[in-house]
Amino acid sequence: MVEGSQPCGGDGLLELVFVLVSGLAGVLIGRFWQRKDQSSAQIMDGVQNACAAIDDITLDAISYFTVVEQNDIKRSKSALINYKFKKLRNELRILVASAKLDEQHFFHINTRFFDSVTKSPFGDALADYGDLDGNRIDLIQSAASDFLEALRQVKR
Amino acid sequence: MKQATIKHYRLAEEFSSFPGGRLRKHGPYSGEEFREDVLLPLYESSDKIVIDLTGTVGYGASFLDEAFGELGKLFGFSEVHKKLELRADDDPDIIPMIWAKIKIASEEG
Repeated sequence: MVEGSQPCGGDGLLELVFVLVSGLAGVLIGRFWQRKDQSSAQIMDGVQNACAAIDDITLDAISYFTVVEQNDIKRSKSALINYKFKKLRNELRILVASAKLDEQHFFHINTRFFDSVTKSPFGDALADYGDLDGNRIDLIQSAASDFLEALRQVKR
Repeated sequence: MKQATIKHYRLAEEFSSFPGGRLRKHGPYSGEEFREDVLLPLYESSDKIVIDLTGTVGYGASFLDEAFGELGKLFGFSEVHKKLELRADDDPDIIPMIWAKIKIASEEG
């Protein structure tokens, strides 16, 4: 061994370990951010889908309560709105799971919106529309607006 | 010893896939029709009933209020809660909504 030279292997091994550890850390951090991005995208999609569903239901509901039509058409429209509510609840369930929210997070606002649209005289005969509360459209729009606001508060 | 009777009812198959509005006068498959012709007879003739709400196009609040809310008014929340089981595999979040309606109606009744 030449005098003054360092014992070979020690530094090389250390360097190798350092490269491996930093490489592994890089991979793990990369995966973490990739998952975080995917989760954020999923939440954003969920919020957008739910907002679109609420807008859609609101338009259908206003049409339902303001346009005079035959009873069978009214009944088809009410069935369609019921179906859209069912889809909305499923969208919300997925969103609540991906955003790790409490299961009951949207319960009250969702029930309020559901009731504002589908309580009586929804699904009833056209003849009963004379008894329709004049504030019904305001109630629907107010519940929809609060619901949309609650959705926009969901952290990505 | 008398064995407890449990009855299962699949609403979409045995009543309608398109539940209607609140009252009979409002059209077919109303909440009133369901309560009077199906739910009450089942409720009174069994120890426990399981209503499966899966498979319909969806329910309106007016149907649910009239069908289930009235049950809460008639028998009270705790009795209904013991005797009635609700299922909705394709729309599970409708179940807590129905129980909330039964509770509110029982308090009003």
